Amino acid sequence: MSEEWRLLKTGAGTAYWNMAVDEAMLIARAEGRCPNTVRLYTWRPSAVSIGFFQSLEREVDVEECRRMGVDVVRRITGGGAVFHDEHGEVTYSIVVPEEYLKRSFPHSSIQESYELLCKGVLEGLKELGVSAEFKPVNDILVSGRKISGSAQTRRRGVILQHGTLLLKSDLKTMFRVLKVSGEKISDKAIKAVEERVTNLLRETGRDLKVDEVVDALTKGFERALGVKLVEGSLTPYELDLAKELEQKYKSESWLKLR
Amino acid sequence: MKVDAELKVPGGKLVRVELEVDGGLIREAKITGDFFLYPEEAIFKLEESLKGVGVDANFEDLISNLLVRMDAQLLGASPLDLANVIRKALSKMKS
Repeated sequence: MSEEWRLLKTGAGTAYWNMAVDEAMLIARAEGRCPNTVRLYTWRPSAVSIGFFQSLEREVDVEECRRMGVDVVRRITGGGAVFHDEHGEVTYSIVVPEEYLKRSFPHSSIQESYELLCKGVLEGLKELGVSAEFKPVNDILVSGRKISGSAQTRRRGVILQHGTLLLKSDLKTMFRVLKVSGEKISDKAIKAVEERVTNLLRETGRDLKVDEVVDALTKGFERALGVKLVEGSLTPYELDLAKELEQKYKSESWLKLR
Repeated sequence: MKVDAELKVPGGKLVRVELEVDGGLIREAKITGDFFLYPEEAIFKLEESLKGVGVDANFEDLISNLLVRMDAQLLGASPLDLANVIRKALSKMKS
């Protein structure tokens, strides 16, 4: 019988809550106070997340976000800025000790651990009839176009990896809230992004529901990790931690850290 | 004076550096971008360690040694990439 991990389907949350829950899971896992977990969720309202090392002002049009009701949050993970469309994507997060990956892959580097955990998304895509490939450092591509990106951090030997899978793209809004290399919204600029980025609507021709994608990813991670995912909930300890951390993610000082 | 530069690492990530230079020494340094560094907090020590360093320093060695000492790992950019972007920024100084 395969090992059981916790599955959390936490539904739609604000940017601050979503990032607080991911960090709470990481801390709780590092303290041995929660099991290995795969969490699947969406963002409401739509939000922009930026990588730990990114400059807020260079990446995000904060004023435009405010006008459009788009939240902005800084992640604890590195990587790039992402527009999380309320209706257009599903996010996964996973907490697992490095040791666990080393059991099957003794010499696994950080780069390899990305690839290993991204297999869950690749298998989930396969479930939806989409053939994709991992491309270092942290991307998943379909016919050369990006459909998913991931980022990870580590605390006391535990990995948190989270990533996004695009269902459909609202490029107009994305262009307004992100400062995509200074490009203005134009048909030409949108075409250029369409060359580089894709989504499930385009690849399957179907307007997939979030639940269908969540189910596919659940199966995908089970297959890729060789575990059985059993639906559970956050522990009271994780909830307390998340409530505390939510204040950090809401704070100006954290947002403007860099 | 303030100088900056950025570099998209081929097959990697974007690294941007902002420096304040005075009297041939770096006074302030800020490194931003969509690269990865574990642990993340190492970035603050990295920026701190550039302060007071001469503009002709061997930045690659300096950064490599610091990362080894902190048991830190870069992903999506190398110490050489960081050194190159620092030199690119410094080359914008008017002598």
